[in-house]
Amino acid sequence: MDTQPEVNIYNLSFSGKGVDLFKIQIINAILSFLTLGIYYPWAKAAKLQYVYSQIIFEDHPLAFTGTGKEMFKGFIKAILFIFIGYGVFLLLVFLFKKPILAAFFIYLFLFAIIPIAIHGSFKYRMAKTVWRGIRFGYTGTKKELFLLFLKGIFFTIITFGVYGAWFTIELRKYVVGNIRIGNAEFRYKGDGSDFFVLNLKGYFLTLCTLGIYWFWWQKDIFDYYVNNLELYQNGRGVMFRSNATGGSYAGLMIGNFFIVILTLGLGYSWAVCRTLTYVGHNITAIGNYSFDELQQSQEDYSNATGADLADFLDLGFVI
Amino acid sequence: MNSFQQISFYSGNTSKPFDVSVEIDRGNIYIIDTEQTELPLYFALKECHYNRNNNKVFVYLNKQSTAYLLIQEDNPHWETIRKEIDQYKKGITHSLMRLNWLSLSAIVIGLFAFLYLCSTYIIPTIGMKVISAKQETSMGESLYNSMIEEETVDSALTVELGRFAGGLQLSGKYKIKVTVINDVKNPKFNAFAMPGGHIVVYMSLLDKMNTSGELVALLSHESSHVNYRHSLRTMLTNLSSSVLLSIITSGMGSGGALLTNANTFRMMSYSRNLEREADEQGMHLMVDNKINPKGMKMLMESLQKAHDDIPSSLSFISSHPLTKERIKNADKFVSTHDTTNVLNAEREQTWKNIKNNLMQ
Repeated sequence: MDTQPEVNIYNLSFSGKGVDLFKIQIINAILSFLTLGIYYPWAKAAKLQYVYSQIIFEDHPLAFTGTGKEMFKGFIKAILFIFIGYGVFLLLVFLFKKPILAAFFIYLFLFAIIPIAIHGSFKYRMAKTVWRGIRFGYTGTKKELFLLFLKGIFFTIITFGVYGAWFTIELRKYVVGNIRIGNAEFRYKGDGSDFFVLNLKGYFLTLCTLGIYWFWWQKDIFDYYVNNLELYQNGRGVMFRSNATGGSYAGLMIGNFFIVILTLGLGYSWAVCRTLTYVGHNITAIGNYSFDELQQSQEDYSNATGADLADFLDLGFVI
Repeated sequence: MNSFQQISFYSGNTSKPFDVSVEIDRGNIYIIDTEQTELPLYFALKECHYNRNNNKVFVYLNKQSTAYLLIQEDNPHWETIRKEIDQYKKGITHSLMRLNWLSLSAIVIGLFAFLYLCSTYIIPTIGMKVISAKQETSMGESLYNSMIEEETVDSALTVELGRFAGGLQLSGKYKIKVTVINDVKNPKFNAFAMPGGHIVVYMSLLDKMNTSGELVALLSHESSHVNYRHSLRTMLTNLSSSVLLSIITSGMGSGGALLTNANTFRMMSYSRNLEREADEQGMHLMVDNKINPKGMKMLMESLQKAHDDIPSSLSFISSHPLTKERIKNADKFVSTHDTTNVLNAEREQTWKNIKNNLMQ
């Protein structure tokens, strides 16, 4: 007789405190000053190590194992990469007097750099993220991501931006679909049409309500990202679910705005922790999966160039 | 040697925990007594680090954080393990992390004091010594040329004002060159000095003046900016503080906004001090030229009529001192200095020409 597998709820939370993150930021500022800014990659590593260590899934924290040294090397390579690109641009403009070719080159360069940065960033960040001793990993390839970008940019331009919704979801499907934790795989099953309708509705209702609906629109986007996320291994797995509400999202954003403004920016660390606490509190995983069965199967990867390029381009981190 | 029983161990091969015994001996932590065939294992204490969270301690045994022990914080063994690990935590970051808020605040205050000294005194003083008057003049010249391209110069008034200034001893080191800008369409009631000797005066300001003494006061004030290299000093102070601040704020995220704003207020206060110095030195120049420094007070009064004064509660956000304060300072100066006024017919004639020109 077949028995229905038991459905469990797995909790995510963030236990970081603003005061602790603030202390790290102050120490980062002191050391950045004393080293004339060279400390920046170590500062970033210290901040990430703290933030990751406070993200708790099923009573176990994440660990970020990237180091300042790796990010410093990546930082130097990223600077060189950007310098070479701009160097060629300047040569074309001033030495060869070919401004049109130069403009074409710089657009191509910037276009090519974004998928490289996203790929490198995920490869590095995932390889440096550990939970219950098991490394995350990213199995996407630069070529596939580049082709996805080429297609996405082309259709977005010829449809005057309408394809942007499909492009965003395709990108998310590809990137998230290539994230692993040990031998378990993440999946993203969103759909461009749904995402387009969600944004269209959000846009017009935001206009009609003089901006008030914006919080509900952002909450819908958050829901759409979370509710379509799954983690699988050998046919068993968990689905992620969002419990966020428009009202609580508005409370978070308005609260953060006042915290940052009224403290003239000093309350930034508290705003970051409030946001992450909110995210953790509003995501749960539902399903049947034994998290004792993960196997270490992802390789370590220590080249942080892509992550630093993403930092330069201010791409953020898009899961 | 310290030995502890019944501790959860995660090996990094799978996510499944095992109960193990742990021994700490000679800089290593040994994992023993388990059913795992690959054990016993050992890890160097200097690579261990820990994360305390919700009454649990996760003791990571390698840099990759793949192998770790899970201990309850109230486990009596934890304190021993912590001490063993902490003895290897050296370096400035760990030392700073161990400091309390009072010590950390003292370091931050010290850092700001140093930053203030560097950006206000040390770097500008070195810069003033390194940059010669010739280099300053050539820099001022290129600044003047790029600024003047966007303005309409009144040639006739420029010639007359040049003649007026030429009859005064305004600078021993720099050649003072005056330019008058036509701002009839959009009155600015302003005048300023550039590095190396260029003084720019707007027609609207000339129009507000009633006596030649006021014009002498204005030129003396602006010449003092040139003589004391105020523009260069401001540029060096501004540049050094913004570079030093950007270094600090790069490690701080948005928290740096407070520092950037504080620096803007500081630069305004710095600018007010330079204006006070230019007023005072300008009046000394007037005395040296045997002209009554009372002209400075009269100039301020004319300026006051031209502008509605900024409320005194906002004086700290103004780059110039309040006009009332400047009038008071001028009064004080006049009462303690020589007020001889030797009339100069040629200068008075030039002044009349300027006024006639303005009326056309």
